[in-house]
Amino acid sequence: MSATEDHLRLADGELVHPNGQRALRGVSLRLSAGERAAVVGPSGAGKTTLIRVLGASLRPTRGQLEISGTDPWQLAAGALRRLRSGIGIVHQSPPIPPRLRVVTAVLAGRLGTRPAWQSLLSLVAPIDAEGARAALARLDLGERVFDRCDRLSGGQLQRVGIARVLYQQPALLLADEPVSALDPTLADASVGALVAESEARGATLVASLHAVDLALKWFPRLIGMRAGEIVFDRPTAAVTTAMLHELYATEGRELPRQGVDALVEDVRPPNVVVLKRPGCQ
Amino acid sequence: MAAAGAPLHDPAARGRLTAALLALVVLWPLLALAEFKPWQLFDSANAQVMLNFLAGFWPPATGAEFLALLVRATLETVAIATAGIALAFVVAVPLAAVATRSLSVGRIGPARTRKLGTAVRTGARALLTFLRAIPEIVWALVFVRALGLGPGAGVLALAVTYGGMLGKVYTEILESGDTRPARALLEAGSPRVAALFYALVPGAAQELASYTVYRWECAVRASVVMGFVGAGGLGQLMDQSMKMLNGGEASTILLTFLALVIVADALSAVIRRVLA
Repeated sequence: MSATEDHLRLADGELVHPNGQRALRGVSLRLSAGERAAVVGPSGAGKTTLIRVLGASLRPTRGQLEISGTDPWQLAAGALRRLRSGIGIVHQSPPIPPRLRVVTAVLAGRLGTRPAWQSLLSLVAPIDAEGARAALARLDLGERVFDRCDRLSGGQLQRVGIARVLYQQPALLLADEPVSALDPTLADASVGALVAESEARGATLVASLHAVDLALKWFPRLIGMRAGEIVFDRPTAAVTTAMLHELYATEGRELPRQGVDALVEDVRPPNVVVLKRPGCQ
Repeated sequence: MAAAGAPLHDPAARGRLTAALLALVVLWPLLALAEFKPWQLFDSANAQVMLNFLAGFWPPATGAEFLALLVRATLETVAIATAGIALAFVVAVPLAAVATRSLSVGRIGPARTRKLGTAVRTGARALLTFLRAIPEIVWALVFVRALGLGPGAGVLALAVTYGGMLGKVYTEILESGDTRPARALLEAGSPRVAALFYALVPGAAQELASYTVYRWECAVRASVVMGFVGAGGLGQLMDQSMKMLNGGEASTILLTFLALVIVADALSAVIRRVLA
């Protein structure tokens, strides 16, 4: 395994927030191009921090990050900007000003690859409304393209945030609790849209998910985190229910789930995870 | 008090009390230094002098000749204020875009560009400070010497001082809103200008517009003072009326100001409604 084959490599990543809180301790991680992994773990485990470190938006206090073989933190400003235009992060609470129209919020996904003058003109007359609608349609929001974002519900806005990143077409797709505000059916479909995007373009996808059942269903690799450390990192098929219960310290109680009962079996034998994923290999 | 256990202490209480006492201790000598003696207003002799002065303002002048002069001067003042604010806007926008911290790519990283970014922002802020630290009347005196008597000097003076004020306040408005949208766009490789208009301006548009209109209103008033040094408009008319001790004319001019302020208020309300 040579390092150049990895799309994403984090070696011994440590992150201490300015307030002294240690969010990551000695986290090492490799993903090859096109790989899909879900990060699970209790809240406060460092999932968000990990996603942001992998997306070159937070610099690790110690340790090294490599994206496609280069350390983003050593790049010159122009090269870093080009690299970042290929990194799409879905945020848990979508960072979209309420007065923006949906079409503008989605088109903002390609600010990094369009000349600034085109983007500014696009504020007057949307440059690619059709493209924005296509991205929204994949999340069942195609008819809201000319609405203002403050007319949307929290769940709709979260999907606009996902549509922006789909429209961006990044090589590296990162998602931080992308479906936390969605009902079970929409959550399932939206994670499905992210996975489909990754499959269609060979984009690497890392998503932190609160709902274990969604992670089990859609991702071939599971990374369990607790207290800023990776507890396990293995193929989903090799993850046991006992490991998950230990991760969440929920012995005898239920695991956090989105509740897609129809799609994932409710009761699992102690060491077997049942995967049902209609329509995907 | 029937609360169980130890009573709750607000940890912020002591700090707030200290700050309030400190404010009093600082303010008292300042009031003394400013010779602030409000009771003198109610001294009967002083009150009589003030009343006599104010009585001179009644009734407002309504002569046709004066009104024609007034209309011309009002148009001139509005023109000075509007042109001055427009130029100030042109000065302020680029400087504010440079000085706004939430548009800094260097703050996200890498650290190497951070120092340069901080230096450029500090420079822009220093320039804004310099522009607005010198009162517009001083700039007007300078420009009157260069351009001669007339409205042109007033326009330039407003452009310089108000450019500094607008730039500073624009920067602070842009920084006080939600900064996450801009950061998210910069993290996805967006140029700064695009991040400014896609992430910061939409949330701040109302406030930016209302402050700009308020500054236009201030520019109308400032043109009075500048008129005193020969920069044209209502100020120059006011200067002449005051020198001739014509209180009626002065009060008509003041009523005109009142009308202009009301117009500014209405304009601001309309713009805010459109941008809401």
